[in-house]
Amino acid sequence: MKREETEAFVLAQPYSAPYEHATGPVGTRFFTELRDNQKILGMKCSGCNIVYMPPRSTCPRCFAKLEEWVELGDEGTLLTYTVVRYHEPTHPTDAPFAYGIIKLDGADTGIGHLLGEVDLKNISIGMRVKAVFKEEREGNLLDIKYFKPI
Amino acid sequence: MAGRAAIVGVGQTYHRSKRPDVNQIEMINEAVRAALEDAQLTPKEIDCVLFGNMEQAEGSYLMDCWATEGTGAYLKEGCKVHTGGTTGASVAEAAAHHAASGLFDTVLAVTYEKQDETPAGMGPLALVQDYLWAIHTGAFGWFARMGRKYMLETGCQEEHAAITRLKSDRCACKNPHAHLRLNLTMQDVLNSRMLLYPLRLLYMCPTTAGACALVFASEERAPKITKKPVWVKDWETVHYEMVGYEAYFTSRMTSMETAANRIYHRNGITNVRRDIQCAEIYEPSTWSELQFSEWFHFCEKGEAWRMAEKGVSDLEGEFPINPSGGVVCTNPIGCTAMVRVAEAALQIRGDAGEHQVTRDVKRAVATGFGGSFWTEMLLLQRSWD
Amino acid sequence: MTEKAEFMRLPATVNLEYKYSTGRYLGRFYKELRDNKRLVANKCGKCGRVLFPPRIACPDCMVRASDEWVEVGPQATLIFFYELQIPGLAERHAANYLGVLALDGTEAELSCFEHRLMVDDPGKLREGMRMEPVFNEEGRTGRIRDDILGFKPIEG
Repeated sequence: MKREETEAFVLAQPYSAPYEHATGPVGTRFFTELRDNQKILGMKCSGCNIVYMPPRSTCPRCFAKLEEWVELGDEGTLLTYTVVRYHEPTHPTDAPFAYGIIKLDGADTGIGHLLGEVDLKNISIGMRVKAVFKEEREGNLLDIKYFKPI
Repeated sequence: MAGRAAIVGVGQTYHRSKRPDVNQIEMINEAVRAALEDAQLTPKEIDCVLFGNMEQAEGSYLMDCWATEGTGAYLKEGCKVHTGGTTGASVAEAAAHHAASGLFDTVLAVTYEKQDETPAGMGPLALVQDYLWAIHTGAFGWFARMGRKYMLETGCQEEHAAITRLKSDRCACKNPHAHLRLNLTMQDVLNSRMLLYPLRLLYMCPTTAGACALVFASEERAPKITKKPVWVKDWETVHYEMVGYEAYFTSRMTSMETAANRIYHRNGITNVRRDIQCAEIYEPSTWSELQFSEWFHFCEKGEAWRMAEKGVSDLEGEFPINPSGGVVCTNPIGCTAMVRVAEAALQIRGDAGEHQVTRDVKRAVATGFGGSFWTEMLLLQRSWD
Repeated sequence: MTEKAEFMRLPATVNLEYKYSTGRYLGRFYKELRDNKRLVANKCGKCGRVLFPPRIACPDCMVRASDEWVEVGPQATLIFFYELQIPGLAERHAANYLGVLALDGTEAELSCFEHRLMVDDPGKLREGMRMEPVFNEEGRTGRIRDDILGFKPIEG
């Protein structure tokens, strides 16, 4: 079809939907401890000898039901990182900011989070980091403000 | 299809309006554990996991990726199938294909919907219509129009819808997995709020949180897993075109009649109520149960309300329709059509419990209905021949 | 089991700005409606049926539509109507009554559509009654649900 033959329109279709996701018993305990006591909990599968962080109610690898809570410290190791230099409305903070995968001491899986109080040019894989909690906590992962270098 | 496939495990959650006590993955896990227990299989013995939901209801996307600890799909093959309201039947059909193909001995099919994840209810589904054209009145408008047309054409009165709704409730009250179990009276039904004439609140399906899982096995493997395999003899998917409201005008649903005609023809079914002993159909409203029954040839045109009046479609009746209580009692959307397949399979096994129908069910049909009024239909049998 | 006390929920509102391309067939329809307040349809290349809304292929023949365009309506026949009794629905649709309408020159089975009804006395609504559109006079976009405010009975 030749270009001038087309009379195509583009229509704007805004879409907004409010969701509320149930966190379940395991999620509720994790977020409650984080909010009320600044504690970070993991969940251990004894069969696989893995401590999951964030915790889960079923081991994804062996399908066992999990009930063995493990209190993790607030310190860990940076597994990998990047520096975000562009802006997106979905970002948790303004660019530029550093974002990494942190494996807390005692956990076998890492979790993505922000890095703060850090020189963006001086971050290295393997560096030791520590959680900094927010003053006003609401019961979500951003109750940890960020992880800072030790 | 050269190979054969059978359902060897059935599991579902206790469907409820709200499940704040579990997250989506944990709710899925309940159904999967139930199906594996029913089949007496471990997750290791599953070769492939197929998955489905209608993700607009939860606002969390690609749940096949995130829900592996719910489904047990870790390091296994499989993918997601999403066809709107028909998702449950589509996943079941895909699983039957996979098991019958010879590529997999055991296939786990998992669907769920957690409709309490948004206070907007059906709101997020408003875009699930012809996206350039429609004014979004959604499902209420369709089923009200169809019900009105049905009344005008057949002489059906509202009391016949009420009789049908009471039948659904009696069945649901005997089915512990059903969501709405209300012990209704005729007065309750006729006094329930009018949404769009002639569609009352109680004639419309609810929003439900629930999950369902089925285990399918190949011809060779199925008899080794269970003494009561339910053979998936045939299945059909028919798409539809819907810009004009044909359903309103002609009182016929091309996709449903086409699916039924093809299945009946291929399987030598000439007298539907004799050759098939039970049906679990996706009836989004009570009015739809009457209309769809005609489109699936469970009776002559204009006769469905008379059939309901005579109790033909009751648990104890000559041709039980939706002995589980059906969709007006339980509607976890993306999972609803799979519940139809699961319940039909239980009827064939004789394992439905209190809502087991009186008639001996050797053969049953289960259907899915969704989005653009398309249809899926599965024919299940106790023995292949 | 009390929901709020025992179990936590995490809010997550999704806000998205979709942009839909209409394609050339509906594009012409939108342009005619927006610029000229005209309702147009195209025709099947095989059976010659009027296709409204205009589209690339006739659903029965599945051949590409011809380039023949016709004007349809604006007068229409009311096929069916209902009151919006669900809380919130009347506000959302800015109408108390919705109707299914077939424009003159179109086949109802193929081409009827839903729109707002603008009536002073709903008691006078009858299936089969003749209606005409009330166009939006300012800031038309091409969308039938925006550019036509609703249909009202033809007087007399």
